[in-house]
Amino acid sequence: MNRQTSYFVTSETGEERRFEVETLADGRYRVRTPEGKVLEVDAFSAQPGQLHLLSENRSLDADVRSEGSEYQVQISGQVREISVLNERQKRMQAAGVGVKKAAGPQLTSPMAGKIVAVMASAGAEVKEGQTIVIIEAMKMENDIKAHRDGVIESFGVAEGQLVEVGDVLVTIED
Amino acid sequence: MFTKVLIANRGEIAVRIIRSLKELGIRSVAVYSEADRRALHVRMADEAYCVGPAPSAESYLKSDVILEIAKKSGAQAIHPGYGFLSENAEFATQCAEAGIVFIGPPPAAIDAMGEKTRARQLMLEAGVPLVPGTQEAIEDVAVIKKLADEMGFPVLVKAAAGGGGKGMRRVDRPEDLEAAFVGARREALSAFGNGAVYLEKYVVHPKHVEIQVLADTHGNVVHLFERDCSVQRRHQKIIEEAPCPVLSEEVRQKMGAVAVKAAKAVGYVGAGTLEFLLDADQNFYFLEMNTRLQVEHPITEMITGLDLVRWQLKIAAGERLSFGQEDVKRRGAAIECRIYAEDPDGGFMPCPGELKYVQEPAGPGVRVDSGVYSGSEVTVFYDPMIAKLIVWGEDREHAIARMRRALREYVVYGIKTNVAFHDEVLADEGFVRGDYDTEFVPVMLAAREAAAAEENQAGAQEDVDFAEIAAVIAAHRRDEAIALAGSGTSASGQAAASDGQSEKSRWKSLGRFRQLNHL
Repeated sequence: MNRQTSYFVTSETGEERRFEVETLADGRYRVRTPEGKVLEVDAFSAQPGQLHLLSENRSLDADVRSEGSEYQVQISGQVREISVLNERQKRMQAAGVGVKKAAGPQLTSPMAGKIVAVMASAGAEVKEGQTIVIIEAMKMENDIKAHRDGVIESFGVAEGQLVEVGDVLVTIED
Repeated sequence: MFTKVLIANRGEIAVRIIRSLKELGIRSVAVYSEADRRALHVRMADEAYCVGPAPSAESYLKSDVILEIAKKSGAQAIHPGYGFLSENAEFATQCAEAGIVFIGPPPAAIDAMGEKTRARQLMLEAGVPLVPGTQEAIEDVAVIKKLADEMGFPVLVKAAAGGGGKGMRRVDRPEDLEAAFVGARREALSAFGNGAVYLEKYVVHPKHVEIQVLADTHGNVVHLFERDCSVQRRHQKIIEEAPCPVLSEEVRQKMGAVAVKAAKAVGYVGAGTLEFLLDADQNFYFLEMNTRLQVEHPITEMITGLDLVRWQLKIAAGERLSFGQEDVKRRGAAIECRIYAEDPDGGFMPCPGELKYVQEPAGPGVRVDSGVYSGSEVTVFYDPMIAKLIVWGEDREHAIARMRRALREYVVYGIKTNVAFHDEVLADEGFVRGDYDTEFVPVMLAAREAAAAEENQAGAQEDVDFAEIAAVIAAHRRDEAIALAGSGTSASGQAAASDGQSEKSRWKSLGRFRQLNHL
C-alpha cells in the first residue's frame, strides 16, 4: 500500500485543500499538507472513534468520528467538523452525485419541539431575521427567524403542533 | 435512619442522590418516564417504576402516582431533587398524610417562600433588604405599564411561580413591555400551571450571590457560605463558583447572618438557598429562597467538605446537626460548569439526540455529576443539562486552571455541547478578574462575534492543522481497510493470517461492533 493518495479537505473556511498521504513500510504515514509541509505521523486507534497521533514527538489524542465523508474531530476540547473526500468521492462529487441543493424558500425546523406561537401570517411580508415561530424545546422557548426576505407563501405548522428536526416550518417566496 | 428512599426525579440529580443513599446503606427506588427507560438513574437504582409517558406533566409531576409507588415499594421517604415536585407544598402535605417523609422543608415553609410576592412580604417584616418591586401579582397590561413608568426602566417581568430563568424577562423600553408581559405569562402558565407575574426594578451590574443554609428539626441553623452564580445566559446559570471572588469577609458574615435569620423566620428545615443581588458597592438585596437542593450544591460541598444530600437525609430522619456555625470551615476554591446539550455556535439552540460517545474527565480535584452515558438518548422532553463538571483547587487560580484542563479532557460525540464554550469563558479576562456581573455572558458573546469576524479576515491559522491531519489519516486508514477487504484473499478464512488478513478481520469485526452500537 505504498502509493500516495490524495484527499480533499473542506472545513469551516469553506476552501478545499488537498493533502497527500502515503503509508510507509513501518506502518506510519507520510502526510504532505497543502502548504507543502511534509510530516511523518505515527497513528494508532486505542478504540473505535479514537486516533492517537505522534508527529515529531508531539503527542495528540484525537477523537475522530465519521458519517460518510463528514468527520468530527475533537482535540483538547476543541471540536471541528471536517469533510474529507478521497479521489473517487471527489470525482463523484464533480459528476454531481449527492450534491446538496442551495437554500430554497423553505425554512426547516432546527430542532424537535412544540410550536408555542406563530408570529406572522400567510401573505405577510417578512425580513430576514424576523421571528416567525417560537418553538419550545427542553423547557426553553427558541425564536426561529426568517432565513430570507420575502412573502410568506404558506406555513407547514400550526400552534400547538409537535415538530421534528427538518420539518418545514414556513415557505417564504421572494 | 431510613432503609429505603424513593427519588422523584431523573438525570444527574437522581444519580447524585442514589450515590449518597448507597453510601448510607439505604436502598433506592427510581421512577422513570417511558422516554427514560434506559436512563442512568434507572440503571443505578435498586428498584425502578415507570410513572407514565414522556411529558413531565404525565410522569415526573404525577404526585399521586409517585406517592402510590412509594407506598407500594415500602419507601419511608421521598427525595424530590430539584425542579419537578421539589417546591410543591401540596405534594409535601400529601406525603405527610400518607406517612411518608418528604425530604425537604415543611409545607408551610415552601408556601411562604414559594409565592415570591408572599416571600417578599415576609422578608420585609424580618428586616431582610429587598429590591424595589411589586408585592402583588399583576393581571393587567395597563397596571404593569403604570407601575413600570413609576419605577423607571429597565424593569424585570417575573413569573410568581418561576425559577431557573423561566418566565422572566428584562424590559428596557416601554414599547416592549406588553410583549414581555404576554410572553412571561404564557411561559409561566405552560411551565408551572400558574400565569401570575410581578414586576421589579432591574439592578444594573449586579452579581448573583447566594447563601446555602442547613437547618435541622431541633432549631439549629447554619450557613455554608456563598456561591457566585453571575455567569448566566438568559437568566440561566452556566458557571458557578465559591467563594465569590469579590465579596469582602465582613459582607460575607453579614449575608450569612441574614440568611440564617430568614430561614428561622419561616421555620425552615433541611437544605435551602437564599439568593441575593450584590451590587458594586457590596449592598445586597434578597431575591428569593429556593426551598430545595440547588443544581450548584457541589461547589459548596467541595469547599466545606460536607455532603449536602447526606445531611438532607439525616435531618429528614430527625438527626441533629453535629456541628455549629463556628465549625464550618471553607478551604480553597471550587467551580462548576453546567454541561448543556446545546450549540454555542448556533444561537445556543438545544441539541437533543443520541449521545453516541462520552468520555468524562478525571484526575485530581475533578468531579463529574452526570446523568448520561455512551449510547444514551438526550430527549426533547426535559432540561438540556446533561452533566455538571466540578473542580476544586487550592485557590481560585488553581481551580480555573484545573477546570480548563478537565474541559479539554471532556469528549462528547453525537450531540453538540457547550464544553468548548466554557473553556472560552474561563479564558476571558473578565472572568479571570472575578468582578463580572450577570451581564457578563451577553457582553462576552458580542465581543466573541466581533473577534471571530476579525479572525476570519486575518485568516490566522496554525502552520499545521492537526485536526485536518487526523481526519485525513482516518479517511486513509478506512480506505486501506476497504481495499484490503476487497482484495480477494478472503477465502482462506482462518488460515495462517498474513498481516493483511488480521487487519481485515479486525475491521470487519469493527464494522459489526459499530452496527451493534449504532456508532
